[in-house]
Amino acid sequence: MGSSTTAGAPDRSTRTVRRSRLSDLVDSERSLGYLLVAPVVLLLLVLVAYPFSVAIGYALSDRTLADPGVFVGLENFVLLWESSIYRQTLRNTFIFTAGSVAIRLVLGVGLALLLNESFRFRRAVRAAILLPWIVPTVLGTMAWLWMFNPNFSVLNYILVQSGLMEHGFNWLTDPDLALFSVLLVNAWRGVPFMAITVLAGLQAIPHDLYDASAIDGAGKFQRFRYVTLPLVMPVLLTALVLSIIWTFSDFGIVYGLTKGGPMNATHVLATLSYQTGLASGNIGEGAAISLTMLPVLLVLIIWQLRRIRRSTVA
Amino acid sequence: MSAPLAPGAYRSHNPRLERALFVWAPLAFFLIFLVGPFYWMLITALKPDSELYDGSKSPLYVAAPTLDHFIYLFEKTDFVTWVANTMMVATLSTAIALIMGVPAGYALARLRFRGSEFVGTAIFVTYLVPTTLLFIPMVEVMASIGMDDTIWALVIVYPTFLVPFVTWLMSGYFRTIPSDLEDCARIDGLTRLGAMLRIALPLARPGILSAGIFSFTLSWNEFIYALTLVTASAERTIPVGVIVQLTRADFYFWGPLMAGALLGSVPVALVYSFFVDQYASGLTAGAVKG
Amino acid sequence: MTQDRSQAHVSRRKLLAGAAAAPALSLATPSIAQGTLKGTKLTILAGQWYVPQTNTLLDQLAADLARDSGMEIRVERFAGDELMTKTASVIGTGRGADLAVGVEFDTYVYAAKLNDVTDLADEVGKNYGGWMDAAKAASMVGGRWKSLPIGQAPAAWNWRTDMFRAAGVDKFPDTFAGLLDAAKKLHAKGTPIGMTLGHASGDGRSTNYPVLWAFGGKEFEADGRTVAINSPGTLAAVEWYKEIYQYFIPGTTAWLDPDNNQAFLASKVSATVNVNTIYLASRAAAATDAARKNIVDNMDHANWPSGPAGRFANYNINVWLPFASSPNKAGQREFLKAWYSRTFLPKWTKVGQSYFIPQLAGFDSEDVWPEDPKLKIFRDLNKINRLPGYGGPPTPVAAEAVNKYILVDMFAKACTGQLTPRDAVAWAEKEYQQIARRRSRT
Repeated sequence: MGSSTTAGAPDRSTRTVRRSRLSDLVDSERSLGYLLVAPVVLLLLVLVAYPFSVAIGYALSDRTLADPGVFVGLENFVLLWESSIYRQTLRNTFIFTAGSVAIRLVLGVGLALLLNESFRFRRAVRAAILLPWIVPTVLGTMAWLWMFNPNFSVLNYILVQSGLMEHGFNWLTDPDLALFSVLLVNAWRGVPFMAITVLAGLQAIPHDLYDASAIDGAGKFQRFRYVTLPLVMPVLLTALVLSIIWTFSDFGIVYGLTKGGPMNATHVLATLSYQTGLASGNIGEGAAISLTMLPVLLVLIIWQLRRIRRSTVA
Repeated sequence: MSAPLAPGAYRSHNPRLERALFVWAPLAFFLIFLVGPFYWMLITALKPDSELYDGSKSPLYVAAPTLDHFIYLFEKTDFVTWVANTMMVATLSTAIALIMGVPAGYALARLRFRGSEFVGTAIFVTYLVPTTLLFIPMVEVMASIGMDDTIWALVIVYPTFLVPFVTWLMSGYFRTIPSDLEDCARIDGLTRLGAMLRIALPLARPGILSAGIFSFTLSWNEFIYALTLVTASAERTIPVGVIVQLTRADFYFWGPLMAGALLGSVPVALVYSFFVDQYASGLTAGAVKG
Repeated sequence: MTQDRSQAHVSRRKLLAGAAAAPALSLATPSIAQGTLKGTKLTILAGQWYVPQTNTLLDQLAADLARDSGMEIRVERFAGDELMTKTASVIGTGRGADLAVGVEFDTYVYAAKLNDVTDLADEVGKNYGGWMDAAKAASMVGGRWKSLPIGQAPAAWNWRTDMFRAAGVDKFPDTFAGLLDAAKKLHAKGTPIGMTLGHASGDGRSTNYPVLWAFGGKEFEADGRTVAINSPGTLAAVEWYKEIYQYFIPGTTAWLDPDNNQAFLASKVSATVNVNTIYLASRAAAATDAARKNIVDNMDHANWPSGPAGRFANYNINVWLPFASSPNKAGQREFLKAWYSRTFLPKWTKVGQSYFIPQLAGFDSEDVWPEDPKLKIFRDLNKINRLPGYGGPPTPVAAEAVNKYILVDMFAKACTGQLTPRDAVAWAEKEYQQIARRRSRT
């Protein structure tokens, strides 16, 4: 350890030690790179790539749970496109994702900046705000289900008692509001993740940079815009991408609150896929629904990854 | 201490007002939005059944608080077992995910090798494959290696979604750490591996901690695999166990459900806050020390 | 307390039945395969039935059979939708269990992956006075029994006699026009009625099919394939629904299975459609909870009103699914024989308080019914169940329509004004046709 350098390295140590071929290999940028990613690639090949290819096979067949079915080409996708429920679901999924991620981003970054300040009880506050992210999704969702209950909503009780409204909201009953309600719960779960991830990025910013900018006379906003933001950008983008993926493929919250109702106003691709593939046993069609998530995510992700790479700190 | 604002910035304003406006008011909003539901869980968990549907009293407090629902959870369900199971699965799968994902993230962020961009994207793409699509073939794969119907299957399967996550979080994180320190270390005679282990990893501790925390939580929460890969009630995790034992087709046991939700989250939050504190206060100093 | 009494009663019965009837029936001799079963394993997936004793008895049966046969038996419980997911996973992968409690569609959706149990079904039928039509419809596919019916949970109108009286309605209406009229009066008194128009997996069916059928609407022709939803009957049903919906309690489009129970228990609705769990829960808590006692005293159960096309009902059914993937077919059969033995099934039915009732004609004259007068009606309700798809046989197409909540959403779209009744029916027709087309390929 620490006894050799590669021939290709521009700088070399003053010590002269006989280099073994093995350490040579390990120390070359390329082999070390392969060595470090190999276990991950192997794991994913066996446990994701294989089942994934099986699932693609499902999507191209009319397989049901009880019957292996036959190859039908793209027919499942054609049928989906003709389905009013699927098109509605697709639209819901985009609104659900865009709405939730926007809330996560704004509140998450805001909360991170806040937690980066020093104030009393900071530690307790940090513990408390983590709760929505920690509580098992199905159980946290149950609490919201009870709070949104059309006949027992405590939220409406508060709104009515405080004189803000006469009747309260139809949280899960009104089709448009129901979609907002489920995305609000999704955002509730996601804000702590965004906040804590960005906080970690903020904490990594060396103090002297702020000191320097203060000397240069930068104001609070300018410091955020020109010092903080560029430096946390890689972390922020990563958290953003992960949030988009989680939200786009989220299953538990809609399943727990509405099962896609009322009138499919809250169905998202994951719940429709589950309902079609499992509840009705059409795993071919269910797989096709799930698969349609991929191209959308892929485009989005590749674009984002480019940005993350570019924003690397030199 | 860790506040990035120079004290002088407040000079011309009323510092109290500014603090109330920019710290305490937003903080109150965040606490109400994020933690409010937990107050509701607590109230519901402490309410006797007779008050649950009683419209004549305010639902926001409990007239005659009771611990019955907590006692029910411990005596009439396998809650303790579920906690132990969940701990075990989450800890092991997180450990596996970190051991595999952190070095891979480092490689993708720092090392130039042919195909790295492709590998990086490919790893991430696997993260896009939805669970609802994967779990049926996954149960078959697990069965073929004799791992169906056991909690150990989860220890193997969870890394499939944790590893890509950790890899990407870490590669993003390593990119925020300037590489000069590692370059210096290499001038001082460390190998690349040595530089990673001794310089980069300690610097990346906050990132590793948060990747660990988030992996732990993802395992802690997972529902579909935990439901389909495990049959035995003695091997269930908290989400599956609580839902299965405390809901009937048309009845929810609100009290024990909410008690379970609280006990399944508050202790973990306390542990997390300790970690968060660790990296929140320790990091910047560490970075400067180099 | 009531439950304690019935328990004591049962154990007496058990002794009598065991002594007198057992030797005559092959079903009651679970010792045939003893030698071969020793060391084998049997995993049973079960739900959480609402009446706790019915779950306990299942556990006991499994324990007794395990002791007698030397077979290792595990009963693993899942709740409602999770049980369905787990069962689907076993069907899809052939792993995880040997037997499961399923719902009515499971049999014809999964028929290819289930063992033929026709001989057992015939024997059970013979021993208990024959299977009812609903049982045959749920468990027979192509003339063969692919599952064995456990029972059905009759849903009735749960209604508050005091609230109805206060609104000037003395008995539960016997026509749909009468129900609409009562709903108006109750709404005016601030005690509205309500039934679910949301994606509730159980109640969504039992509250909406009876309306469709009573007005002469149906989903399919007798062939079970030709979509017949777009008819004057359906339109009449939708229009009736749209009208009565104005007098419902707000929020029913978001109701899941527990919501009508909760609303009724809180005295927020004066009537809803449900199985007898509201009553059973209230009765169990009545001793310590005055509000619940008030509900017990002032509620009753009633049958659906009669519509232009007659009187219909739809109940959730449970069946035993014998997985074909099971390596322990002998164990499967041994368990099923024990379940349907004279020493077990009548006892299980009796403690069940008419929540789940086996669809066996002979039980009508047996002592398996609860003593409570307010539960008496379920004995007759048990005779009128129809399955989704009625008009035609139950099929995977009908099952898929249920799982996609097409019928519920058709009513909901019209009730909320999102579509006109005519457009709502047309929307449903299109969805049904698409499902039928998709399924006709296989």
